[in-house]
Amino acid sequence: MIARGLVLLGIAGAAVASGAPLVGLLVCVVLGIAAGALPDSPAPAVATMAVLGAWAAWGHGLTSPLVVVGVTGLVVAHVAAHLASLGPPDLRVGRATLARWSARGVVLVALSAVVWGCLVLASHRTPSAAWVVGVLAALGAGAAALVAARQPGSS
Amino acid sequence: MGWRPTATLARAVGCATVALALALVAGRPALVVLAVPFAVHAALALTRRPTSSPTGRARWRAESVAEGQATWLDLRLDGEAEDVTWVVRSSSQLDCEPQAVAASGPTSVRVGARRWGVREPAGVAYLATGGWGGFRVGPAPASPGRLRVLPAALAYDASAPLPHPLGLVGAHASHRTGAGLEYNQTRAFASGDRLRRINWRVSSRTPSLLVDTTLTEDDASVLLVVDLLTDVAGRPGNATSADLGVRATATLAGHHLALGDRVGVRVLASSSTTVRAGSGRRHLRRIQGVLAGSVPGSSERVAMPPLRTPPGTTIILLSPLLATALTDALGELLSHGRTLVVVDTLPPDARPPAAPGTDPELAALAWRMRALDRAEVVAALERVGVRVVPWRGPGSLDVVLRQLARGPR
Repeated sequence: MIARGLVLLGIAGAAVASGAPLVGLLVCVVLGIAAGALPDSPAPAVATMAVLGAWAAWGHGLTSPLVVVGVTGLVVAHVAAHLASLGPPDLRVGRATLARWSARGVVLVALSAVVWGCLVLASHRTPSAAWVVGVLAALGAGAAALVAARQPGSS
Repeated sequence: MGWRPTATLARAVGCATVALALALVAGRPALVVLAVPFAVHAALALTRRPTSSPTGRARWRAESVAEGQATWLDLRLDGEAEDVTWVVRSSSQLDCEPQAVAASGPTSVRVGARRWGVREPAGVAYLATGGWGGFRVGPAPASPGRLRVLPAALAYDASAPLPHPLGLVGAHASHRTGAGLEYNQTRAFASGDRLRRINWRVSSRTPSLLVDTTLTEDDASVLLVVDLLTDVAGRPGNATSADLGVRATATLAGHHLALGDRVGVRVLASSSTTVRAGSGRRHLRRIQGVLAGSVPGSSERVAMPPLRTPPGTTIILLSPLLATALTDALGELLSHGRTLVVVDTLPPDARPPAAPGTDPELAALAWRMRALDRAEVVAALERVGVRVVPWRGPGSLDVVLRQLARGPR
């Protein structure tokens, strides 16, 4: 039940950080409730995409620290939805599983923060280069993750 | 059964794609940052797709457990998986805690047994998830087999001896004089008497030597016949007649086996079972196992194989005395001339449930008529010298057995 609550909390937090108007927030919260109730369905994906839409429509600029708040909310909702989708509502998640996914969430947020920092720095110097750096950073992160995943013993 | 993508992987791929597309369309670099965790997660999950299908195994830690106690159901997944979710649903007679658990290795679920019998959970299934939650297999069933719930042996203490101890060693005072502790009589010294048997205090006051004689202490043979042809319930949650019969049988068997007696058991049910007379702790486990496997049920005619009981065997019939098919069995038991005691296992608050749609007054009237029939059976048994005593736990049979033991002496 805690994981289902965290899904709603993450979605709502990311939506609030986007600076969307009240109607947009309400839509995201309603979708967040549905995502918490049905974590093993497309509902969490729809709620997350609604938040991304809010960021596209009303979101802050790249330099705002609220971007990191938004990404944190989305990662919390994403990880919580995965843990909730592992079983029925009365599921008891083991300590090792909980610790592993918490660590993964922290790593994903940290990686996003690093990318955000790189983009902010790049945008200060040459705003036109921000896109290039951003895409390169995303590709680089993906490639690094792939390499790390193929190494034996890595988790 | 193969691995298939999870909603988590679909969400990661979809959200990363949508975020990057929106970033390009709306010209908002911030969305690239929002896409990063989803893209990384999707990449890692896609590269961790397992290749072989795992198999879940559920095993009872103990083959049997006494009712009211608990055991563990050990759950293990053989194969490649990161997390596994086990769902073990409680049945009406087994309480499972927790009923759903997600773990990354072997885990256990505590299972409490409510009532004797052969039981299994309402369902056991597992769901295995691959690395980074990208792929899953299941839910698939994993049957642990059945758990034998042994009837609880109540704390029982009886002081009365059995009527006809005829064995060699045991705890019951027999009718024969010999080495023992139970005082018999004081008589004149005769050739062959042991000197330590001389009662010097009495002999000093008489002109001749006198010796104390004792009774030998022998074991006895008991046949417990439990009637499960009918199972009448009392108030909801209270013990039924079958519960009382089975628990009383286990209790009496444990008590007499602890005294060194030989105990046999015959279960009268839809399929009758017999445990031949034996002794020892292993024999008690055997009896408890047979009782646990018994299913109360009616039968047109009770299969009553010939009794092969040694002379002096005391037969104790535990029955609610309601089944009409019991008449043949009673005749068979009486025809052997053995000592027979009937223990009435009908719960004091017994009231069988009426069929749906039956007029309650009519059902009450039918039950009263049945009770009258039953009273007639009890009276007929007592007319032929069979004592009927209600089961009231420890000491239920003391008065009857003491009277029977006194009779032939």
